Amino acid sequence: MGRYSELIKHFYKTRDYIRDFFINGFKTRQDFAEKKSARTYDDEKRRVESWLKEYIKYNNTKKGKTPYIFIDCSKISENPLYNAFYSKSFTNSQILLHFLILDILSGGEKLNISEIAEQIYYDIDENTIRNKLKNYIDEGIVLVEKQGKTNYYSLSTDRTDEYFKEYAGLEDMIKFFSGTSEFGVIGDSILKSMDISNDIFLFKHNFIVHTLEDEILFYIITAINQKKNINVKKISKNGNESSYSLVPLKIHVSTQTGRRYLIAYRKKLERIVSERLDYIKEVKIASIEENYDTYMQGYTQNADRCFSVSFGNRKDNKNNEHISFTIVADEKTERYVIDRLYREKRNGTVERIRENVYKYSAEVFDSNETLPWIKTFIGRIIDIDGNNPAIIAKLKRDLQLMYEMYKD
Amino acid sequence: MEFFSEIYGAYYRIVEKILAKPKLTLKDIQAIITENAFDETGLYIDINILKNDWGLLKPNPDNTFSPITKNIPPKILTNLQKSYIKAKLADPRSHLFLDQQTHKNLSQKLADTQPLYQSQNFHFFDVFEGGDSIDQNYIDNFNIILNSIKQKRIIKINYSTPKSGEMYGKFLPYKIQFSPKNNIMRLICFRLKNNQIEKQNTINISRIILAEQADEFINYNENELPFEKYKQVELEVSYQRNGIERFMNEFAPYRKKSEYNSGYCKVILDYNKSDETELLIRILSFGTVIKIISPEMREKAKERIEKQYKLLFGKDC
Repeated sequence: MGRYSELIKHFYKTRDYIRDFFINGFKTRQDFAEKKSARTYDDEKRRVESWLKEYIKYNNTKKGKTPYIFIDCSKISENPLYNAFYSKSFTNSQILLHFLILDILSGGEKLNISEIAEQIYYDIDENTIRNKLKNYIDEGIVLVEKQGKTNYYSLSTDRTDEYFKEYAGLEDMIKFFSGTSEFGVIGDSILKSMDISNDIFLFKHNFIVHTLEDEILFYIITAINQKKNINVKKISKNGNESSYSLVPLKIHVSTQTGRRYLIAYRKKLERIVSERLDYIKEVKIASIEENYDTYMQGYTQNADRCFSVSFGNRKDNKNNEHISFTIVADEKTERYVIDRLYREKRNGTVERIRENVYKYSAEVFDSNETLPWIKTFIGRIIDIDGNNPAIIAKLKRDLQLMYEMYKD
Repeated sequence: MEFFSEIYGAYYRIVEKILAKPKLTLKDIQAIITENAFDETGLYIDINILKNDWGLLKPNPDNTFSPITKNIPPKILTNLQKSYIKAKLADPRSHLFLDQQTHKNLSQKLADTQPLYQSQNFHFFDVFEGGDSIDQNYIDNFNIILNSIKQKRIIKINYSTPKSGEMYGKFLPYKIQFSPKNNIMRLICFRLKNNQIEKQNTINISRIILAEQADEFINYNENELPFEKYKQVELEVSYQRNGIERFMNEFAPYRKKSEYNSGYCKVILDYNKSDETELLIRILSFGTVIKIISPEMREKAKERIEKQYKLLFGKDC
């Protein structure tokens, strides 16, 4: 196939390029070449163009040509970034063995390794076949049964087409979930295997880019459910790499900002930390964590003071900050504003002070996290208060600067 | 269990389709590749690869090709896919699709399968309260809508609105939209007037009191539907407080074009008129990081900010 292939061995490198094209969309070849070689850029760009052709556009700027992905995510019924997951490279013998094993076992018989090898006319040794079968047992494609000392292999009887026939509504259910953010690509792979597309559902506030973290997430969730430690390799905003061990506890998802975080206990710092999933390059599942329940309990006990992802930077979790703001809205004609305050209040409380006046109050680890949300009430705020004067000053200064910015 | 695996790959799917045919011409093979692959795949899979490198096809005397395999490749549901379905069965929205007995039967079938994840693994910290509450009435209405979309069948709907109270209308249902932020499902439809498609409408499914199928069908062409038109806003996003990165992430779902200049990034963003207030609120939440350039939205922002300044700092503007 030559040097370039549209298939890839590892996902993480491509993941960064897709993210740059999709999220930023303003970087030139030169900008990328400062970090990686221009040839790597050319290859990655070519792959993304091949996978996402109809959505790729180019902007001719003073700095050069910039490729970008042009999609209104609320109008697409299938996430085109799933294509990256359908691009895993393989060897000639892997694909040959895959279809030969399926074919040989299609008759429903249980065969031992020699009987299978006999039907494979190609020069593939029994060990390779055995490894493939072992791999397919893990994947659920092949079943194994021991008779005496001999393993007998058969094909799994779980057929997608039969599931769809037997369980009415399953097809539509998968159409729906294939577009949602928790591992939608797996649902899509089921649909694709049946040549079916989602033609019913659309998704608003749809961060299709989340799928690029699905592989990482898969390992983290597996570790959480097995109460195990993980070793993560992380890349900072500046491109610096670091590795450390964490006890993974929870995934915090923002449905509004497009960020997802791993909340974990970091033993070295003796506190709960949050790590953005898109900055994590690699996850390796490590040993069972003996004190897992204790760390999870620490999370649960403190979660009600976490406005978004911050658990503060003290080991004792005692850095409470108080924040409150008061808004004015006409109860008869502007009920929607008051409703919004109640609907979006998270872990705080809302109190009716008097007619048309409502106050939100919360105890949080980091009141800085509340500021973007408070600013969504611009035009309504009559008072802001809190015990972190720097945060209150920051908000007031920002409101004053906004006034200056929009003054004609 | 592997997540990123070739068994789910586009190339394997293509080969599966090729092997499902007893006899193929070169043209048949090319058509399967073109329909099922990426833009450039045709450059990488050809008859030589299929025949020699992968050894999966053999030539026939009449210039056609046949699979070396005897059976149509079976479609097996892998452990990863089963664990995904198992996880989704725990989602309350699964009951929209599967009736109680089917849900129970499928759960039993997957009794030995570990779910891929559990709902408590995730915390959606900024999801709005007051999302859909799924009761039998909701499920019934949902299924009428779902079937009507498939059949391109007109529906009659009674629904409540916060402003105008109870409303009634005939609609052509188009799609069901889910918003994870609001945690609600909406029907995207087109209002009918004198049986003519009039304009796009969005109705929260939870606000539907009664949905009924009419005996009328419309075989529409999607490209001719009167979709809500796009508006554009021009913005300048500054570096400060990691603004560009934050903006680009938060506004990733929008269709947009951006250009990097010294000190700021110029962005032209497309949006629908019905989302204008939500968009304005989100832009304002960035404070001075985003400067609105387009006059119409700039004026709306200015009005709110001036009002805010007066409320908090007590000065007339």
